[in-house]
Amino acid sequence: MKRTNFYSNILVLFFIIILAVPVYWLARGKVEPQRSYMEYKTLTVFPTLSFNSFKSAVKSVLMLRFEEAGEKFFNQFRDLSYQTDFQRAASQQFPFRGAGIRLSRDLDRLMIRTAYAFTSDTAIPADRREQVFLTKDTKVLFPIPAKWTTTAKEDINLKIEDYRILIEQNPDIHFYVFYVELIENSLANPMNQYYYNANQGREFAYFLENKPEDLTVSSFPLTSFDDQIKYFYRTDHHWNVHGMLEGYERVYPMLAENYPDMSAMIPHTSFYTFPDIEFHGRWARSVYFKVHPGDVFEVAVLDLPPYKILDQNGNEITYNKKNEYHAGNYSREAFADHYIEYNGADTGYLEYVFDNDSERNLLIIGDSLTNAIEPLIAAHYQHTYAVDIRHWKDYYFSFSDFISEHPVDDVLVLGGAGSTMHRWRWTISP
Amino acid sequence: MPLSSLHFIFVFLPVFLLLFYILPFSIWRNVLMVIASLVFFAWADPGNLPLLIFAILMNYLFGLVISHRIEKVSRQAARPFMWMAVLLNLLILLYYKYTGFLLQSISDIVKITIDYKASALPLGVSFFTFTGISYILDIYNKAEKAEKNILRFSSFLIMFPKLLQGPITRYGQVKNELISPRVTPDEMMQGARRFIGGLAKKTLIADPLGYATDRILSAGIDSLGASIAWLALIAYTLQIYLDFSGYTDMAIGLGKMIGLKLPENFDFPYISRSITEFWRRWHMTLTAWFRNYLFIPLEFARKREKVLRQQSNILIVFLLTGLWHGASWNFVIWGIYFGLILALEASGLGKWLKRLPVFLQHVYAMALIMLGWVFFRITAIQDWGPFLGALFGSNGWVNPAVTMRSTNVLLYIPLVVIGVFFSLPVVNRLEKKIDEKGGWLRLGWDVLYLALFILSVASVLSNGFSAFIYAQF
Repeated sequence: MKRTNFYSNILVLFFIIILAVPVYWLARGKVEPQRSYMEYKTLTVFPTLSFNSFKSAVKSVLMLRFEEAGEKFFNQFRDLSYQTDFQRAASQQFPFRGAGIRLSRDLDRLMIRTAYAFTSDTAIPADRREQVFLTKDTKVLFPIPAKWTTTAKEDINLKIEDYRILIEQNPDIHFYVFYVELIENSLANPMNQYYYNANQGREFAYFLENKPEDLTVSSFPLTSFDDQIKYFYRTDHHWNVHGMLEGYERVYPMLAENYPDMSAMIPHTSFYTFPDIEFHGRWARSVYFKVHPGDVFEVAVLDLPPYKILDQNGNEITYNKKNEYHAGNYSREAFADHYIEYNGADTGYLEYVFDNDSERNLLIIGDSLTNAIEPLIAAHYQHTYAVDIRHWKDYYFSFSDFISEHPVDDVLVLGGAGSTMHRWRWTISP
Repeated sequence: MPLSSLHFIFVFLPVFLLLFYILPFSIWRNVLMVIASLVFFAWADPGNLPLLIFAILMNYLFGLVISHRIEKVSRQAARPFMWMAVLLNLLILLYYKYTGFLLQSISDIVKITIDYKASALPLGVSFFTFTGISYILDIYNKAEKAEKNILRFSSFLIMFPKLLQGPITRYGQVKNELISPRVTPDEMMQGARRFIGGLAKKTLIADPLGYATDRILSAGIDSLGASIAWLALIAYTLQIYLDFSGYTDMAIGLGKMIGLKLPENFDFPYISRSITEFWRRWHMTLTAWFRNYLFIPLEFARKREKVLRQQSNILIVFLLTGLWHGASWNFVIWGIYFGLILALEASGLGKWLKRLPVFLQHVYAMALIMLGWVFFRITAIQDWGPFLGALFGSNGWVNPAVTMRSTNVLLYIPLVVIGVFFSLPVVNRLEKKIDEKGGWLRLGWDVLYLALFILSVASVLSNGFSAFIYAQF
């Protein structure tokens, strides 16, 4: 074997690297736990060991008080909690962790592109782990089709039955459903052809066919993938400002049917685009992939009457960060969830109180799609209660209990398939 | 503590290596190895640490007694102690690994409910008990003398690189290095290469391929088309080899970094032309263990039997080989399956096969090996029929219910190609040529190793990452 020192010693770098990492950890010393925005959790730091606890535990051992010794020091090893924290910290405190994850995901994408190079597919997986796809030409991230199954059908039947009882028991209240079709449920999902039981709008068709007659239903269907690009973010599952306004255009006449005195529609005076935001939403986040360019984060400038938002205890709260955004104070994190930050996070209960002439109250039951549209709809009512059942105990919401404390005239169930047609996680118990 | 985990590579290993290279005397290096191995074991399985220490002391003391009896009295006088030591090792294995299986089987046969709470399986129990037995039998067979230095003996029995998954090492294979542990810079570099190669095989190829297999099988075995069923089987065939041989590479590499020459465990088994050859190339240290300590003694003990002696001995050995791999019926059947084929090959089929074109010999061997993996991977015996049916087209070539796109496994095809490449001796031959030429080629090759190391670490980091969907959920 011909070798020179230089050639054979390049792998010294391996030893240097494995040594440099613990040296880095040691040199950094004790660090405060940091939040990981992407993972929505506090990153684990290396657990510390107390010499005094150890000394004291050893003393207990010498006095044959084993249980006490365990409690003082040794149990953390026996129950593996120390080891688990240590292992987590080794991963979560790893230098250049983000770059490492990106590198690995880029390697996965290289493999995916190679595998799909020989196909004529218009969309390819965006990642090896998640069921998220990326259109080759328009660079839109979207999920695989939802399945249309017997279980889904049974769940819908239960929800329909709940609606029927609700209407029967509350003849003075108008019940509305506004269904926003997301790409996973739509005929427009480019992956439908590969999933034999893809939803393709069948779920909603079934719901429409079997719904109680007195339930007013309207929808915002995706008729083509162009609709998806126009009305939804390319990297997130939420509707963009144009989708939200289109939704408002469709919800308003539905509510106005039984509300002749409903105030005129709120006009949007203009749009505002945050110039330095490149929005990379849920799908981008889940596959750790920044589509270039990211989504434009655009909002409507609305002329709303004065209003306040109250929490369950009746206290006025600042629910969203709209004012902060317009003052330029917003997250510059690459994968910041601007939709939720700007419009407000999902929450179990909110009450909008508008300073208007309306004498009617509304209950909106919905999901995160409602967060953006709520103020526009609420502007036509005096009190609007916004409920997200996913934040109620056991995903269970008792309608009769609620209206005994919050009398309403109209009930609008607004959102995707889950909140409008399914009982699971959105049980509206009559 | 898996050898591919970040806390092993970036905490345990550097601290261990640093201390190992600093310590001047072999005794201290052995002390370090024992302490490190105990920490390595206790890190994940503190509850069974006393058992491991018992195994060390038991084998050490019995080794001394057997050696003493042989020297001072006779081999015959040492025999009861040999049996006691072997049985104690087997008892450990039986109690922890097979009690649940035995009771469950009895309960299934006699239709009674047996209330039994299984003890946690001690880490590496199959390996350290078999190593212990080999040590005892080598002393009894006068192949080795008992080790008087308990540190050296403990080092041999529980050294962390081979503690979890082998290779099963005979004392004679590492004795000299334990007496005088020395390492040259060149061996360190070779060790690093071997370790990185194994790490890359495991994290970059085997783990993702395992993910592909899991996805396909979880989509419903009943509804697989032939194409996707074959993909699952090929992916698993590659995964199990690259995972296990990758681990072995890491263990051997670690050994080299500290001057230990651990035995090879794999020799490109998928280039075999018969099942007999396959078992000479697959998990070689286990095969050698069974050959040395079971098959040869059986042949010897039954030498007067003329009819089907060798065949029945092969069957016994492979029944136990199957059982060694896991305490369930699928492993037993997997073992019997290979035992039967090997018995047939020993009965003349092997000679007949050699007359076939080489290509057909490979096809024969690979087909049977892969069929064997069906029994190994699919633990529910009732699923074997549907899966085998799927392989042979019972659901057509493609079943629209479960496609490569709907299960998102089409993307693994390049990895399958890479896996095949790494299962053949191509890379090894290339590396040997590069070694011979040296110079810039060697440098480039080592840079590639470094890149593989970084990619492997990135892959481990990536596996530990999970983005939130919504902040609130």
